[in-house]
Amino acid sequence: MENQLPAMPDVIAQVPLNNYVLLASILFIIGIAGVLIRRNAIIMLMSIELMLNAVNLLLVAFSSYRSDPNGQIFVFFIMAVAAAEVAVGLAIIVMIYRNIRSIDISLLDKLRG
Amino acid sequence: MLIHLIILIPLAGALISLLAGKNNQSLSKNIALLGSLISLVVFIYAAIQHQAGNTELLSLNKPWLPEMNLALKFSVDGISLLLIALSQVLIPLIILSTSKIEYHKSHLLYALILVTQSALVGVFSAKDIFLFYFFFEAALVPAYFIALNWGNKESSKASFKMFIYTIFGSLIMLVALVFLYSKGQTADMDALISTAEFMPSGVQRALFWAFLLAFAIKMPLFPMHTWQPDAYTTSPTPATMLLSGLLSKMGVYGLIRIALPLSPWAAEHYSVIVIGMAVIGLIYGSIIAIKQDSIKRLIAYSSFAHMGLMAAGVFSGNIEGLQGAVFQMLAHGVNAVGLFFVAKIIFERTGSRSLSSLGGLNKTAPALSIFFMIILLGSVALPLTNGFVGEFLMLKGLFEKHQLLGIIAGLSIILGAVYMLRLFQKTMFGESNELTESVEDVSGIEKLTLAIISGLVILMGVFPNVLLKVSEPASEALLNLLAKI
Amino acid sequence: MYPIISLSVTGLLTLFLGFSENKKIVFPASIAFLLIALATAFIDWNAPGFYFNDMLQVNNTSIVFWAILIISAILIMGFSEGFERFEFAQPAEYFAIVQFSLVGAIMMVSFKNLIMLFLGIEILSVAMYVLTGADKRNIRGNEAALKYFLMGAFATGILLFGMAMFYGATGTFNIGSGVFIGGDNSFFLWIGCTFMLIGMLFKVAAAPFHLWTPDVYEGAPTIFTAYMSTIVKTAGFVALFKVLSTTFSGLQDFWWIMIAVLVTLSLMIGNIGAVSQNSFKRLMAYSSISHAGFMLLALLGDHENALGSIMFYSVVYTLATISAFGVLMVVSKERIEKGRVYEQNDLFKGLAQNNGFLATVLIIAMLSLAGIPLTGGFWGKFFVFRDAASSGLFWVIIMAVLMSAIAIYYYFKPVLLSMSKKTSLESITINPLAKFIFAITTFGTIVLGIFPWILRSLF
Repeated sequence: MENQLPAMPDVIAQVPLNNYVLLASILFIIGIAGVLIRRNAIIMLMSIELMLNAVNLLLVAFSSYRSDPNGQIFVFFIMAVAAAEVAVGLAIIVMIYRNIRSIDISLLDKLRG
Repeated sequence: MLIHLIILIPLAGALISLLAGKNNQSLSKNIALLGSLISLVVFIYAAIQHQAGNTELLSLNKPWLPEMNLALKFSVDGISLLLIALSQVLIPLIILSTSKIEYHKSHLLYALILVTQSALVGVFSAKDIFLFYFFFEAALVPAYFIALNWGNKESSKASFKMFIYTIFGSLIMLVALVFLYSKGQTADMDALISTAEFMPSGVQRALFWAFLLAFAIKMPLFPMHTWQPDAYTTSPTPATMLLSGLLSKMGVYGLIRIALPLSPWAAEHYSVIVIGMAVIGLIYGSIIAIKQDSIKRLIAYSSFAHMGLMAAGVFSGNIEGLQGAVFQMLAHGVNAVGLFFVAKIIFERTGSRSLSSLGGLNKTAPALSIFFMIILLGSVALPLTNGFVGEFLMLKGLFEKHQLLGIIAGLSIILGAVYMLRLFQKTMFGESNELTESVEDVSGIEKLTLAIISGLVILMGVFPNVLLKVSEPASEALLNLLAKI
Repeated sequence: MYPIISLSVTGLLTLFLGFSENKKIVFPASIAFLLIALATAFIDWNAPGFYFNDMLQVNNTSIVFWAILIISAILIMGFSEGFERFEFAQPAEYFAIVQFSLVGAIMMVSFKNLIMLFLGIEILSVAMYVLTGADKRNIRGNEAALKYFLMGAFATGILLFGMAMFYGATGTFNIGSGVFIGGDNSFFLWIGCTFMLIGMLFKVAAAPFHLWTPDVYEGAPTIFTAYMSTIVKTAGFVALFKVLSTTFSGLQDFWWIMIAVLVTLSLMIGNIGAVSQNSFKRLMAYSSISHAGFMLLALLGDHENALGSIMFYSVVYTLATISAFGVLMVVSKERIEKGRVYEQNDLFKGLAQNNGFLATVLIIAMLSLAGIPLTGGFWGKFFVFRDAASSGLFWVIIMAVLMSAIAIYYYFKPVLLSMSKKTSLESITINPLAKFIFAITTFGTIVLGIFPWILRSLF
């Protein structure tokens, strides 16, 4: 049990777990909606980041309520990977901008069956 | 323990002729011929031993995928023995028949023919349902590629249709086989047969139609025959010979080996319907054959009609019908190869396959016309030729099963005589014209091949009992099994 | 375990090799590095164990998959002589990324903890985004890379949300213990299971999460399309199997029907979609969707057999796919039309006359993909049918069979074209290495078609 976190501070416990879950879910859905609706590659990328951060919030909440460090460790992994992903994503967007001088993905229609 | 040798020798022959024949086409032909003949000789030795009671020689039982209960299980009974014999005899004849036209890349052609041979032996001797399926499909692939590679544009279309049709049918059969396997946890044919009668009737119905579909397409049986005339007509002759002489027999064999014993109740239940379909096909094929102008098409339709009669014989459910069907498979195999060979010779010499533009060949090619006559009489089922025995037995069996259908099927003999004699008259008799005036007669290897085929036609007609005795125990065993239901 | 270390180190080394004057050394060095990784994989043979705080599980099964993945990578990299064609290409980068991506794939087949699964998926995916866009000046490649990236990152988000919910329900990321519906947390568990499955099915391109596949396959450089359709798929399916057969085995009633529906959808969309395709790569993309459907079938049956079936299927699929894309690469090498590589089906017209060897390779690959006996593809299909039959799902099997019949139609399009008498091809040169690879893949396909137990008896 040496992995156990110290007991959860009362101030966190004042907000029930379900509220955290609800907030995270709403953020997540906003993110999904952003990806599906917006056509600007940067904004889509930001929406994906929002999804990931919603997940982070969820993990931290669960982790605190369970007094289990695993969830928070996972959050670090997610942050690191998300950074790598964004780096690649932005590079791809820059590459496209160089070629077509735009980042509107509806202009990308060269691949058709 | 010779059965695997009989399967492997042609494969080895295929490999050698493929490698050795790249720069020397006639060498590859000789190797292929030698391979198929060695396999024939080994088979004859094994068959004689088998008939003498040494059944070990033609059976094999080795684990294949042990954790799944699949085995490399081969064994033969009389029916299998005869059909293996047919394929062993016909393949060398088909190779011989390719003498005159130089096919480009012919080493590949011979390799594919030999692969077909070993697959056929596998089909006719497999005792594991998936092994059967494996060979059943594997036999088709080389035949298809022969049609594709050495045919013209039309034939690639027609053979593709054939390929899709037959694969579709076999896949449906595969579902049925997988179902049987998952129920019984065994793929052993004998074990499955012994439990088949306990299968509920609804399941048997589904299984039966799945099997029938696969085999009906392969034979082909009315109304699944639409691929057949085009494929037979347009394919290069070796492919046509393989398809009509040998591959179609896999369909009938499948009915006997799979459909009847594995869904016995349904087979009995639906037998009249199937016979009805078969008789419709028989009459329909015969009538259409009368109207044909192309020699190959005419033979194709006649072949279709004969296959219908065989299916009817198998489903007649008595010893005459079944034995007749088995005998007719052999006879039709020999006759179909013979007829297509004659058609090919005529086409090579005159450049035409159209009945209306031919005539008078008996003057310029008397030997050809004699051989043609003999093979043709076999097809017409004249007594003392091979066609007679099978057709007579089948019609007798059919008549016992169902009088009306038997009578209708009997008409096909008359119709058969009409179209076959028309074929002979239009090609051989009459005035010769500029196409047929300067035709060379057959000689050399062609003559030898035709002589062997004609000899078989007559020998089988005069001594049918030799062959009928071989298959009798197996046929009786099957009928006993069905009688238990 | 050792290949992860080995590949990470050699990947870095490869990057440094890129600085050297002699660019020619990168290719043989990378192949050597991959071979070293392959050799190190077998150090753990018969020495099962757990690593990284029990987050990775190594046993003989996972080693077999490592070997499959690394060998596939070696075979595909053999075609990489075309790298110099990309403008401003740094071959060392691509070789390094391939090695890094293999680390991800290896983690995906041997994880014991969802954190490792996530890391594996991401390492592989991020590497694939880069490789998809490897041809920087090609707008089609860019488009494919962006689409792949957005879809992939989106799928990652969904996967993570599922994992978070799973964590909320169970309090652990470990997949060792089974979980069961019931109690207060079952809602979280349902959400978690569904979202994780959706996220992973995105990666293996099962319908209806397949929308990116045709575009990405078409736009990516062919060599990486081959990489994507073999290595990503194999690793993805093993990961899916591991999740479903361990943690989620208690939820089988729940996901079972979902997978059954997805199988049906994948088979229908994949096979019917492929019929009308003129581009060979799009055809292969739809075919890959349908093969995802077949591999999912295996998951419906007993778990004991499923892994063996998936392994066999992915090996034969990998061999055939490498052959097919390899032939495409060799044949289309010199064919540039309208500023891009010509990759339509009729590229193969008359191939048999022009180069019998390549035509044979292509035909056998197509036969195997179509599942015709004498090729490994037949047994792949057979095994998954058998698995599905053990669960009594005959309507799905009949569906699958009907779809296989359709599949024959489109797989034979290139075959028929290659047999055509007319040809617009000029003489094709194959370098000896490519010839060697074709020989391996084709021979492997045939051998597995005749002696399936060679591979099947490993499990």
